[in-house]
Parts: sequence; structure tokens; C-alpha cells
Amino acid sequence: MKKKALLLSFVLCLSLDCKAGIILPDDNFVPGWTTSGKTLRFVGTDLFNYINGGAELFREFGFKELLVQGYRHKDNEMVLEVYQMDSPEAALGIYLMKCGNETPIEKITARNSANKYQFTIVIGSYFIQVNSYAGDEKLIPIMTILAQQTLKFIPKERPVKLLDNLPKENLIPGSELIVRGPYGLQPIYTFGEGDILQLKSEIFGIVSDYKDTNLGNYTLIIINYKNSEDALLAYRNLLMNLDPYLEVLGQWEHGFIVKDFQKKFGLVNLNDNFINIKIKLSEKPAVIIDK
Amino acid sequence: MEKQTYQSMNNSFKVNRRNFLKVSSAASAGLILGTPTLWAQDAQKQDKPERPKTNLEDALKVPKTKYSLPGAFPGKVVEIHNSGAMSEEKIDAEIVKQMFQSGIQKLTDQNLKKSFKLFFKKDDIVGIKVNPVGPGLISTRLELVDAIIDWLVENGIKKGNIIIWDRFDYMLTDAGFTTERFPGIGIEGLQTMDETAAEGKAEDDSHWLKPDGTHVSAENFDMDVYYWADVEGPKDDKPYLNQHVFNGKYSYFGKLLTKKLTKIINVPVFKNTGNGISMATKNLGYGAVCNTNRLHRPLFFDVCTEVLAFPVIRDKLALNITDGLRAQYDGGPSQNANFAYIYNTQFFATDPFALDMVCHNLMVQKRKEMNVNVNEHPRFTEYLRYAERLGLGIANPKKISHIRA
Repeated sequence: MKKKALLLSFVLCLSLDCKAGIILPDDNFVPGWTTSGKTLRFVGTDLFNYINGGAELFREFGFKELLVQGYRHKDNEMVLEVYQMDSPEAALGIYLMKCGNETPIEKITARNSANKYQFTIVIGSYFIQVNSYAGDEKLIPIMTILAQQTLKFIPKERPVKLLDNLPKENLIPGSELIVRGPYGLQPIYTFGEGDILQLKSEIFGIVSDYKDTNLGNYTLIIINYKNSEDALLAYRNLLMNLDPYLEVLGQWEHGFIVKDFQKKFGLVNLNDNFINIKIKLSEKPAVIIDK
Repeated sequence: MEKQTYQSMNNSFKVNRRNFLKVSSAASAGLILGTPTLWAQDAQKQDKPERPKTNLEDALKVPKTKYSLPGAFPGKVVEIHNSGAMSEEKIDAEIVKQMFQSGIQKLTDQNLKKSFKLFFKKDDIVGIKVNPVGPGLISTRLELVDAIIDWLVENGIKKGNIIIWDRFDYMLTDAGFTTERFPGIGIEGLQTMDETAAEGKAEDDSHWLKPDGTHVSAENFDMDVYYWADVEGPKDDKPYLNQHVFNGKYSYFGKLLTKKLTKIINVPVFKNTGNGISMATKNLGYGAVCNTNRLHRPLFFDVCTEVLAFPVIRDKLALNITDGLRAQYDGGPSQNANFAYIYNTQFFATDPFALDMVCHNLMVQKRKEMNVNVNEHPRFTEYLRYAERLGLGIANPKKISHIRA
């Protein structure tokens, strides 16, 4: 009995918390459209029960809570998903991983990429998706209103300046990414097993591709650790546990050059709080090092 | 985040000329190789986590038959493309059927009738393993399954001896694989799962959990035929049990495969899973057994090889047809319309490992075209080379015959 009461109070607490936070659009957000089923709430590892594959990435980026609400009008259905992450940087990180080539809709007052199947939106610490599985162009105005009404209740937060730290010259627009651990890093490069860069779901790495007329395109990763000691530890961990497919060609006190299985080159440099990495270089870099 | 203190690598390498060490191929004599002794005390070489033991040896002990993988055409992959098969609005069932027939004949170099005899006998019970994830968007096309059924029936297999199957019954329904749509054909999920309970929409577990604490689908799995791996499925975790029927270290094969089917046609969809693919070998590796989530982290793609090494699949898997009519290059294995595209292609092989190697490389190409990050590290195809070492298929691209039409 006590257990049941505890459970009930927990559920009530969740419900109140839900209402105290953001408010999802209700019935008739557009005349005729009604909510379908109750709002689902997932926290922590519950997310694995909702996302079939891919929950690990959200968890790595700092997932806090997901609210899911279905909407219906006759045979048409939509599902709104509102993910709260632990920071605007984390929300942007997830967004960049999920948005693909951005095709924004101007009527939505937040960074977005939208098509007839899905709107993907980021604002503050929130990552939002509006899904229309029918993929009907006619539903885009409804999806837009649903998104707009959701955004009305999202609290304003500081802008994310993390990516401003990427050098602008020769940056390939749209290639910017944020990583916070091995799942985010997986499609970019394999440096070794596990959390080889010791990001620990805390530290953000910023990533982008660059054009280089001499060296071809390459990828730059910049990680700003909390302090130089953490950066040094991560650097040592990387060097000691490098993937066996990476051959170290040259090494100095705070840097090294590798050749990968595709005969492309990488350059890693430890500089105070930072680890800077260039990968996928076509030519072996000739590096001048401050001894 | 602190105020900007980042700098480009170029900036970070600006040096005083007198105090530099130039590192290049021409100056390799000046390289410092190995870890400086100063660091040796702190830096620890991590031992690679030991790969969990499995009961693969049990499978390998069973002698192969003439039907065993890689089947009649090791390393042969046929790709059929027809831009008229499908558009966003509609699918042309006749063209889909022509593509199927052309693919089979190009695979065997024989007509449809003789091709049939290479793989089947009239009294076979044939299971068509579809992929119903992403219903309607990227699930196996019903029209392709129609074409397969027509071929089987025209060559003497009774409709009642054809079963469309997947691991989950509700997914089959969602994707349109119903008895109404396929009259006379069996439709079987190895298990049920109560989605409502799994998502927390209901407290009532009676739809999936029996009073004795076992899953209602437990009897659908064969306790004598299993893939064992030294990895525990979580205990006291209802959502896990709801979805996976069992926890513990055993992944039992469905009785449908062990007791009923004599042949399998595998019809996956052309899609990614993270940086890898979720196609022929994963459709069976994670679709023929229960209690799989525990395997993802420690064994992931290896499961796609090892589960297929068991005679229950190895000796029954006659054909693999990867449905690339609509494909998905990112966001998989779940559906994501942002990354789905009309590809109008079907792939045919008896050898699922050669097929996946070809499709993996095509997926890499597509992801590059679409400016999606792709990591081409060999680890993402290692499971295919593992299969080649086990004699289950061909993974070496030089030994694969990829025929396009």
C-alpha cells in the first residue's frame, strides 16, 4: 500500500512537473485537431523504451527529459517530441547530428530544418521534432502551427557560441558538428576504443570540414578541456590507446602525426587546455613545432 | 563555456624559428618515437575489453549440407535498377515483379523454373523474412513480397506453406503484412510485445506477462536451440522482458525456424544503422532470436555473423533479396523520412555476406554524396570478413562478382 502511495505521488509529481515546465499544444491548436492519448514522459534510461536505436547518442549528449504527444484529425496523425537536454550546446549538438542538409521554414522562429515528414528544431536547451508519418505536403501548415505553438512556451536562453570558435576561413558550410563522446564521434573517425578523447559526456568537441586547395578537404576537431591537466590526460590516453589501424609517423612532446588505413594523415596537437586534431589530410603535414 | 580561447591549428604551430623541430618525412631522424618516459608513469595502456565468449563452436561442429551458406553462388551479387518502379506517390507492381524475375535469372543464369529448382522443393515450407520497421516508409515493399510469392506458387509451393515472418507480430501488421492483404499465406511474428506497456502508457502487463512471470511468447522460442553469449540481459527490467521475452545469457531461436520452416528467403531493406548497415545479415542476426539488446554493445555486428552460422539459418537460408526500392542513408535503423530516398533497386544473392559488403560500400558512397559523415574504418565491415574466415560467405571485394543490370 505504501509502495502504491509512493508511486502515485511520484506520478503526480511527474505530471505537475510536466505542467510546470513547457506546455504542449492542447486540443484545437488548429480547429479539429485533438490530442491523441496522454502525454508520455521519458527520463534517463527510459528513453531506450522509446527510441529504437539511437538513445545512446541522446544520453551521451546530456538528455534530461522527453515529452511525446500525439495529435489527430480524422485520418491524419502527428507526433510532437520535445527533448530537453542539459544545455543549449547539447541541444544544438543533437540537432546538428539529426538535421541533415538544412531546409528551414522561415515561419518558425528558431533554427530548423523542415520537410513534409519531419520538422527538426532547436531552441535553447530543447530539441524538437514534429513528425507526420503520412508525408503529406498539405499538412505542412498544420505542422508549422504545432511547432510555433510549442515554441511559445520554451524559455529564452543564452545563444550558443561554441561553434564560433571554429576558424571561418575555408570552412565548408553545413559541415559543423558537436561531439560529446564516442557515439557522436563514431561517424566521424575512429581514434580508438570507447571514450578515447575522454569527453565523458561533459566536454564538447567542435568539428568541421575545411577546403584546402593543396591538401584536399580535411576535418578539424577542437576540444577545449576544463584545464590543461585534463587535456594532457586525454592526450596521453589517446596516444597510448590509438586504434591499431593508425600508424604513428612522428611524435614530439605535445603532438603526433598518424597515417590511417586509407593512407590519409592526421595531426594531433596538445596546446594548453586544447586538443586540436586534423584528420583526413591527403598529404603528410610538414609541421613546425615549438620545442 | 569560457570566453573564446580557441585557436586554429595553424596558429597553434606558429613558432620561433630558432626553437623548432621540423617534423616531416624528410626530417624523420628528428622524430621522437614512443612515449616520453616522463609520461610513462601516468599514461596507461588500456587492455581491449575481452570479447564475450559465445557458443559459436557448437554451430561450427555441425557438418554443412549442400544448402549451407554461402549457398549456390558464393560471392555473387546481382543489382537490378529500374527508375520506373517507384515514385514518392506510387509503386508499379508490374515493374517490381519484372525486376525480381530479372534478378533471380541473372543470379542463377537460368530461367525462373530452373532457378526455383536450384533452391526449393515443392514440399518446402518457405519463410519470407521481411523487415517491417518504418512501416510504409522503409519497410519491405509488399509488392516485392507479392512477386516472390507468385514465383513460389507458380512453381508448386502451396500458399499454405509460405509464411511471412518477423520477430514482432505487431510490426508485421503495421507494415501491411496481414492475412487480408496476403490471403492464404501465413503471417507469423516470433513474439508479441505490448507497446503500450513498454512506453509507459499502461500499467496493465497482462497482455504480455503471464501470472507465473513468464512472457506470453516464451513458448514460441526453442529452448534447445540457442545463441549463447556471456552477456546478461538485465534482470527485474519489465520493459526489457516485454521486448525481449527472456533476459539472461541465452537468445533462443524461434520455433518457427527450428520446427517448421525448411527454407528461408530473406528480404531486408537497404538502410543504415549508425555508421554501418542494417541489411541482410542484421535482418536475421537480430530477427531470428530473442533477448538481443544485451548483445548490441559488446558484440553488435558479430551477432550478424554468428547467429547465421547456426544450422537453423545456415542450412535453410536459400536467397537474400535486399529491397532498395526506397532506401535510407542516415537515421537508421528506425525510419527517418529526412534521409529516405527513392532508389529503385533490388539486390539478389545466396551469400548474405557478399551482399552486405556490396551494399555497405554503396551506402558509404551514398552518404558521401549526401554530405553525411561516414567513417570508413574497417571495423564496420569486420564482421563480414569474420564470416569469410568461418566459410559462411565472401567478403573480399576482389572475390565478389557484382553484376549490375
